[in-house]
Amino acid sequence: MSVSQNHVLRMINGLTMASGYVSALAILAATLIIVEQVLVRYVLRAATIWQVEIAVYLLIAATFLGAPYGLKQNAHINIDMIVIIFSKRVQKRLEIVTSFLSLLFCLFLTWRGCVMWLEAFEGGWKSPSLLSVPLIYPYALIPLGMALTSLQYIIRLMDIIKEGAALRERLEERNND
Amino acid sequence: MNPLWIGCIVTLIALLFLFSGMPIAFALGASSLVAMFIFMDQYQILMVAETVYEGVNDFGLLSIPLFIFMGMIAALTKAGGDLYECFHRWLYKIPGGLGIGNIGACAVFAALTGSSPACAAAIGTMGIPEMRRRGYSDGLATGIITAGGTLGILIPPSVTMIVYGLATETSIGKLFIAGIIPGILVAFLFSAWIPIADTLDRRKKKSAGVSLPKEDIYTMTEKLAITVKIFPFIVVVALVLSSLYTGWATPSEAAAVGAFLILITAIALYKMYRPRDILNILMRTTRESTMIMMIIATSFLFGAILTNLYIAQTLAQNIVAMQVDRWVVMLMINVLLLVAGCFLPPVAIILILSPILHPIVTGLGFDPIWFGVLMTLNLEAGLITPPVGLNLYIVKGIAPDIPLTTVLQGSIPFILLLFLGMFILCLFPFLATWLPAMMIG
Amino acid sequence: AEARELKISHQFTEADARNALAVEFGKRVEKQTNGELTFKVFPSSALFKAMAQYDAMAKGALDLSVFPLAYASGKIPELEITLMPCIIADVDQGMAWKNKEIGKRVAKICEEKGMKILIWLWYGGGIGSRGKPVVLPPDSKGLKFRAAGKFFEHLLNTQGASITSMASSEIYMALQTKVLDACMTSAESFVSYRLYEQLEYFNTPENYSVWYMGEPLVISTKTWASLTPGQQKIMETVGVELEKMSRDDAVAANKEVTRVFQEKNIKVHKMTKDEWQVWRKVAEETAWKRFAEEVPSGRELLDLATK
Ligand code: NA
Ligand code: NA
Repeated sequence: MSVSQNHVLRMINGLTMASGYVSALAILAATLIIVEQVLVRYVLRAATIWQVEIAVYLLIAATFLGAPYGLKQNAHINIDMIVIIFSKRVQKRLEIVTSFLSLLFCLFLTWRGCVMWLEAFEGGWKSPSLLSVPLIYPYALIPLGMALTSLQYIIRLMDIIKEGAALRERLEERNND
Repeated sequence: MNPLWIGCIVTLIALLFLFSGMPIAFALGASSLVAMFIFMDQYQILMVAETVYEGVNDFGLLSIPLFIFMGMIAALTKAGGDLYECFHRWLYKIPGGLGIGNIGACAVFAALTGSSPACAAAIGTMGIPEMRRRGYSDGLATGIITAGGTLGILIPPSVTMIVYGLATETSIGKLFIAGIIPGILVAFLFSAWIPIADTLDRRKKKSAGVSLPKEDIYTMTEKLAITVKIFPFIVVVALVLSSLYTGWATPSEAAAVGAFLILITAIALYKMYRPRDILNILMRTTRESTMIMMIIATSFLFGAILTNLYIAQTLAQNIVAMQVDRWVVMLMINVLLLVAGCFLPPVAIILILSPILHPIVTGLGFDPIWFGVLMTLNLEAGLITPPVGLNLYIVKGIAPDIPLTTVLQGSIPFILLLFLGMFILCLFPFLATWLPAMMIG
Repeated sequence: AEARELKISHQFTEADARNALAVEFGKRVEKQTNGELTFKVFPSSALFKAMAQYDAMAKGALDLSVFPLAYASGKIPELEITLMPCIIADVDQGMAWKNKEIGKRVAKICEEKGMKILIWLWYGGGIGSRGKPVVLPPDSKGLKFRAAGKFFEHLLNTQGASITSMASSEIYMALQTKVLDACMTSAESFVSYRLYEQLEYFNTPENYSVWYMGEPLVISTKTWASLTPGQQKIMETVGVELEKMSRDDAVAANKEVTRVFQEKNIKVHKMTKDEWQVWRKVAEETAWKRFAEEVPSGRELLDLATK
């Protein structure tokens, strides 16, 4: 692998980790914001308007920005009861196919998310609440998260193919001996 | 084409993707896209991002990551261990005592949240590692939590019953009350099975020559000592619980305040003040909640297809068209619900099916409140049946090293117990109808 | 011509009068087009969530909806005029919009943004609460309120209420879980969502109501453009036919909600003219003022609406 390729890989993995940290902080922030709301409402007896809406945006952030990190950590659950019947080789090939399909889905969602974001950007859309948050902020979370997840899938596909090639090489060497 | 044929093809596509080993979230999403490309007009596909976004845009869902966070703090400090040490010292004489304690904890928690995954996540995060440490088999430990967690939608409050009540014009207050006795009944059925399963497991292990953790004997002083140690946590939990019961806070608020107080307690008592420790807990929380939330998000795509193509509705109408005994219809409705439960989360099933099932059921002379409870029991089973069983994946997320097959095996007896509960409810409908009938108005 | 099926989505329950209107509209158009157009009605937000219906219509993914216009106000700020405190005093005043400049203006804005109004619906709304009754604006102090509409929210917030936004279909759950202490929504929704199960006090719209919402039956302009001129004509005719049904339903709903809430032993208050005037004064100083400041054509729309 060339130096520049390594560099790109490191950058993608770095971004994925950063995305995971942002997601984690979003959960912490949502916790603190809701605690603040409870304090303001019951202790200070003052009106609250922005906390619920912001907390929900943080939930959306935690969901979609957490996805690439979750994939990197193998946290996304799958049904393996059928797959494990097959031989290791078939399993590897199947993994290439399914990773590719997942990649397609993530790319599709990235694309549609970008379109949704662009519409909000061009139309100057805001949330229909008192807070009137410009929707370009929450709408950016789907394309961002899904684009990073797509990149993670590309890395994963490259890894599987590389592993397969190394395996084949080893087998060929053994045959040549 | 007939919606039923389309339904068969959509189901086959979904099964193919789900069993291919793809992550559930992406399998649901990708198979939905394929089904959309084949059967729906282009405009529907343009709504994919909006559908997924609106699916997650819900304050009620916030309680899921927050309750996971709360449980994770307790689980990753010594607090969780101490809490279960306490359970153990008090209950060790009863066979399966700790397991029954977990079911009890789930039942208490179910009375505070309307959602089953939140219930499984909150109790399981602490409960599963502790049960395994005490020699419970992996299957039983996870089965207890997957099943106990389902009580979240049976014991009031319940998200699914609210959706059912709105869709069918049934009193939600009465539906809630109706769930109490069946909820206790099911908790009892679960608790009765645990000592049997545990004894069988331990015997099997003994005959296989596996050494079991030594049976300790505890004095009253030891019992009280550990109780004093966990007292601050009991106070926090009691605060959270009472804040919900008195209406002082919503489930999401209680989750946030609970997580915050437990965090403070852990910092004070267990010296967890390094930012790195807190970040570690948060990253584990993210890991587990993102998976659940992504499944919820993409399941809205799949639900949109079933509604849009009128698949479930047509299926239900076909069942009614047959002229057979009303209990045969009831059996078939339940089989339909069970099949639907394999693929869809409870709220989606109710949204799609109850407007069609309700007129059939009342037309045949069944009580709508009773049916609401029966349906909820059925949907509870759906939470632990593959391929889409949220509780299975939550537990899998809490204990990633246990194979899904083992979790499933441990859960099967509990699914059967839910069927037994449904059967008892059919034999004695007053278990659901008596309490609501006592209500005025 | 080949038969074509159109989808109507709305957030209301199957028993709601607004569902009946959508079903009736479908039946009549189906009959008059000799089955060229058929309709499938999806109640209870089963097809799209309430707020997502506008996006779906704009993209052509949804054909028709009984749609509270203000739900799209984040995208079309002018539409907030259809949910403005004290801008409409009774159902007839709302129904009159159709032929007035304000109504034509709103219809034009909607058409530019992807939906065409077929039948105007104006539903009055009440104020339900727990713990204390809300008779005058300052009574909302300290309550967790769902108001529907940014400018109702603004009005209540200036009076010391905590605000949470949600679709009317989500109120029951919010009251149940104590997310809310009080809510404003349409009279029909108070009954069809069974909110009396969660409330103690009710300020009924029977005589006077500060709360009216325009929630017409609308069709996606994409769908509209794809219809034959004959089909368009039939839809417009049926729309006019059903105006009376729409008006009578809304008037009946205001009476019905009083009856039902009294029957359920909720403490019901009928707003007086003097009380209405107090609300109107507060509305002008808060909601109207802010609308005029925030929305470029806001002042103009307010003037047209009060003309
Ligand atoms: Na519950
Ligand atoms: Na299932």
